Amino acid sequence: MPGTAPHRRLFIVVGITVILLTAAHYTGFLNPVERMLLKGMSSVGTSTVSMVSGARTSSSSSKQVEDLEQRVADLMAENVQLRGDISALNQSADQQRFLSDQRIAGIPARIFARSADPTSSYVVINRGSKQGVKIGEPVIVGTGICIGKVISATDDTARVLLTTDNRSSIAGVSATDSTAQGVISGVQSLSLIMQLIPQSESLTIHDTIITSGIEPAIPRGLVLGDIERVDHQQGELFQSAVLHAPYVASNLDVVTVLSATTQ
Amino acid sequence: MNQRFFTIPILVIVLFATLFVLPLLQSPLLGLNGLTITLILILLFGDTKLALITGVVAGVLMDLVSPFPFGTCVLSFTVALIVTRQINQIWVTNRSLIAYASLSIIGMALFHVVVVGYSFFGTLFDSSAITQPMNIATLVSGLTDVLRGFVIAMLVYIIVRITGHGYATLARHEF
Repeated sequence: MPGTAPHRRLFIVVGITVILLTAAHYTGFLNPVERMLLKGMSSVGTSTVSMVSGARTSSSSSKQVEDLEQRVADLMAENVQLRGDISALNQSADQQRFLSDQRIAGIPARIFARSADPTSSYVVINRGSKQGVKIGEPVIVGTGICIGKVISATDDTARVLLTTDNRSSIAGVSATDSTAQGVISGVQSLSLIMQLIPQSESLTIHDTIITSGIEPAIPRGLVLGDIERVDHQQGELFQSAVLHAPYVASNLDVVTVLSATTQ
Repeated sequence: MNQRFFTIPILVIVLFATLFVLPLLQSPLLGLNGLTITLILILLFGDTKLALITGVVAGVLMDLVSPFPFGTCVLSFTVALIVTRQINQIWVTNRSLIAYASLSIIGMALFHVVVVGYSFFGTLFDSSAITQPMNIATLVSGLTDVLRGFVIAMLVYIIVRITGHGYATLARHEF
């Protein structure tokens, strides 16, 4: 066939390159290059997130934007960038206030990449094992809202599996009744479900569910969500509850990784 | 004019959007797999070399931030592109609209099959990675993505037709 033969060599070269790249990753030979690439992607990603969150803040005050539009283009771009930074600083300040109130150590981080696939919910943050991030540590936003757990960490970056992902599971308990315990996992990257709750426990709609503290790295009291619906079936050993996740994944920007060591 | 003058900037923009911008958007734009269909279309229009090289580079960048085992994206792009190219050369050799549409669907479907398969077996090498679950949600998401890719392919077909060249004319010339 014309066109097949000239590409056979290209296919072989590409195939070998893919195999070598994968092998180099798992043997660690690719680490310096990966670190360099991640550093570059981290700065580009955080700037993009900053610009987008700056634009979102701007759109909420359209009159202010109209005033700004009259000014020169350079000042407008700078304004959007600064708004993103201020919004990030405010979020960071909230998180730091919560940490000092709770006397928990935390590592502030920014999200620079996230899942584009609707079936999985994860984000990549610009802090890694070099800064003290460890696998299993919880990640929060605002005043103690748990958004997920660290699932892997490189030197300068870490991947966080959000609570709304199907593969996530965190032990939770009702804030009003400490005996109503269960396991919270994600549902289709949209909401949360609390399972394995003993039938004897009574749960009411709008109850807040918090982390139970039985997992070593996760302190008690981080907010996981509030109850939307309780599924109580006769004859079953356990009941379940659908929770509303208190965050929107696409709006996340500044987060804090809670370190296992308390202050 | 060299067609790479247009395709390379498009690829750069699509890669940047896939990595940094699309994940920030809300549904239905969230999850739009623009890169895979762009690579498949470049391949169908005859630039195999550019599609494959970009596939490897983009795959590595996406693997660095993906929670799936390293190699999932790079291998999925490579397999989808090579197999689509071979089908185009051996079986679906004509340059009709049906051939074009079926090849874009086959390419997108192959990409998803390899993502699910490799991410499943890849966790043997990378215990911290997660797998793409084999359930209805993954199937629906994959089919939606294939459908969106098909819609983009049809739009490109119409645009190319309107501009006066047509798929059949362009695809005959390797550039």
